[in-house]
Amino acid sequence: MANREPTLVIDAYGGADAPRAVVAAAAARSLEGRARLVLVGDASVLGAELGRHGYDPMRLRIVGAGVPQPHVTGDDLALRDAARASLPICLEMLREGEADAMVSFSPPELVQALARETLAPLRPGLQAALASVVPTMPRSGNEDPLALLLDVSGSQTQDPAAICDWAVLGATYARVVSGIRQPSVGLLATDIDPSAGPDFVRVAHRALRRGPGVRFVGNLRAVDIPRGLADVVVVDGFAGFAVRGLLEGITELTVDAARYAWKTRTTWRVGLRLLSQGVGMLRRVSEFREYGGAPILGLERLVLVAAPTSTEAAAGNALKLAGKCVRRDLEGELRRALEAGADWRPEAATEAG
Amino acid sequence: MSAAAAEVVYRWDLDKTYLQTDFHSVGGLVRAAVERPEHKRPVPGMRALMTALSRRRAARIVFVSGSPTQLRGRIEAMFELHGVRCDRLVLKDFAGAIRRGRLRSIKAQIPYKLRAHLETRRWLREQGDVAAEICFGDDAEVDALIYCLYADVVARRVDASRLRALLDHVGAYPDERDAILAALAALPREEVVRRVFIHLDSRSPPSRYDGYGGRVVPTFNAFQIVASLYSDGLCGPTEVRVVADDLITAWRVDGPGIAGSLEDAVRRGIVSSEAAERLAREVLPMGLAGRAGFDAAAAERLLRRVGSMRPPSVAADVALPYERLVEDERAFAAARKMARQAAGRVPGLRDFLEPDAP
Repeated sequence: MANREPTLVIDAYGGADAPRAVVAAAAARSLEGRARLVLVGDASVLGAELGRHGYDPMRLRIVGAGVPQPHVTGDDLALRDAARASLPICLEMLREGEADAMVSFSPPELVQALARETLAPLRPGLQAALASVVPTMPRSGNEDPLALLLDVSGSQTQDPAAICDWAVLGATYARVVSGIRQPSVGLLATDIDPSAGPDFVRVAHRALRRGPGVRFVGNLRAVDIPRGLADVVVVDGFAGFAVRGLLEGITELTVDAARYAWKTRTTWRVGLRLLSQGVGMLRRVSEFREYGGAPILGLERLVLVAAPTSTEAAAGNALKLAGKCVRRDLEGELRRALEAGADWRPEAATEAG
Repeated sequence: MSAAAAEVVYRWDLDKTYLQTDFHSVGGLVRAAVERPEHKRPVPGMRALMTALSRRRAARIVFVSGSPTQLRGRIEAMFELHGVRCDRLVLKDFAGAIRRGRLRSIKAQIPYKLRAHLETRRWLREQGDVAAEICFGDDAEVDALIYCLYADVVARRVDASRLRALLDHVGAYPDERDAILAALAALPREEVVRRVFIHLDSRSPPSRYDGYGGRVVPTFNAFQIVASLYSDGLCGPTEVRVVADDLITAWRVDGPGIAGSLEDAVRRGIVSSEAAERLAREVLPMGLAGRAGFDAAAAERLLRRVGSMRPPSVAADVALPYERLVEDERAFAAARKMARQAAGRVPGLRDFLEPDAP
């Protein structure tokens, strides 16, 4: 599968100002000639919107989902109904091998639920995880201001075996997609002391410490995530969801404060100019929201969940990221990594501990 | 040239329609001027399209180009190398314009090309050729506007006084304007242009041509042109297969690429679903496209999709609002220039802190 032109199927009902941003991004990507794209949604609306852009019809086509484009954006009932029509088409194309990866801008929990129902896990019993990037300080050997946090799905699974699998999946993703040779993996806990925290965290810690193939750096507190103490942070889905939301909220608040200062007083504007290097760092950190999307790791095909608020730039990045994952054979690498890590799962750790 | 009267006239632009040319950079302009004939590259599939069309039946092939007259020898040599017949080649007299201090003429396309079209039409009539024309241009300049204006002035949907005012508006020199009016007066009233194909070389959105009516067909590649001609009964299945085969063998296009182009053409209403069905079932799977992935199963999948499409209705030919179209084209060119400049700019502090600023 590596080094060939991937086919990406795009659930196009969602996204900010839908479907304008998604269609514009897909049209631009088609001209780059590195992937084939299939837009699934309201065919007449998508066709009219596509007519406003230059594109390559050899690499971009439309599949009608039979439901009119909702005249609203965001998380709304009409959008959910539309997504319930388009998502099965996209997922069926993935399952049948007509597409290599999927990008959706629909409500994330709906995408996750349908993807888990339709696609098989990479290994029987494996729990797929939603992975998201979060902003960090640059760290040694990795100048990328982002770390990978998983699971952020919001599920209440507190299974140490699943957390160990996610460590393998996250480290493999960081190696294959972000190009980090030996990604460090941290476990989110209440304290760096391995004996602290709930049972499932203690069991997961012991298993990860013994596990080969993953460079485990121990427990991390939430405050350590933005400090960049690990390239990959594993956590149960509920806590991960909360941490991700909190980091996004704080970043938004900080950016809003800078923008307020910029437009409110001339003296503050001058101050911001003097602090331009610092503002530049803030900008770099805030760009994680434009990263492109959160991959669901552990399914037989790649599904990227992009934020329903994705701008054209973010939608374009999501398509780029999906293409990169396919070209680098992420799916095959994840399969191989799971096979290699099969003998150090926490059942053994529990007995030993 | 055959002695029999032509059944069709193919009127072509050269740069960016037939030839891959970069005239947005100085390097590209220099390269176009000094490039040897054997190094000039046609737009993918266009050479196959042109030779296939000119072989099929009595046809005249006319080129009207904005390239300088000094390139005549190289261009004619290139046609010979490509095996392309050219019955008349009109080039722009840049040196003459500079000698006479007419700097506006160097850049202006409308007066030069309209006059060239009218005069070549008169030449064709003198040869006894009164066939309707199929015109080929691109989206780099205003080819669609010029071809439509040519069609409407010859059909007298735009009268001489309106044409005079329009030429003044676009900055034609008085003697240039009078020569155009004289060339028009020498032609009888007739419906001269049947179709105008605009190759979207610069990736303009197809909606740019919404205001031009059904005569103008924006296309992304040579396959869409030949499929549209087939749909209109202006060529047969052989020509379609020749162009598809050329794209596959010489330009690394595959079966799904051909299928995607056909599907897009049906969706935009430039190929009928009936024609698409014939091509998908009877023509393309039997050629190289079939071996390159456009097999019977792919054809059936495509037909299921195009069967549910409702192509847009095609507007009837009426006199176009040229004064407004000239302004629209100017605005489009300015917006494209700004977009090119913006694409090369690194976002600064202000872009971050004022994201909604124009």
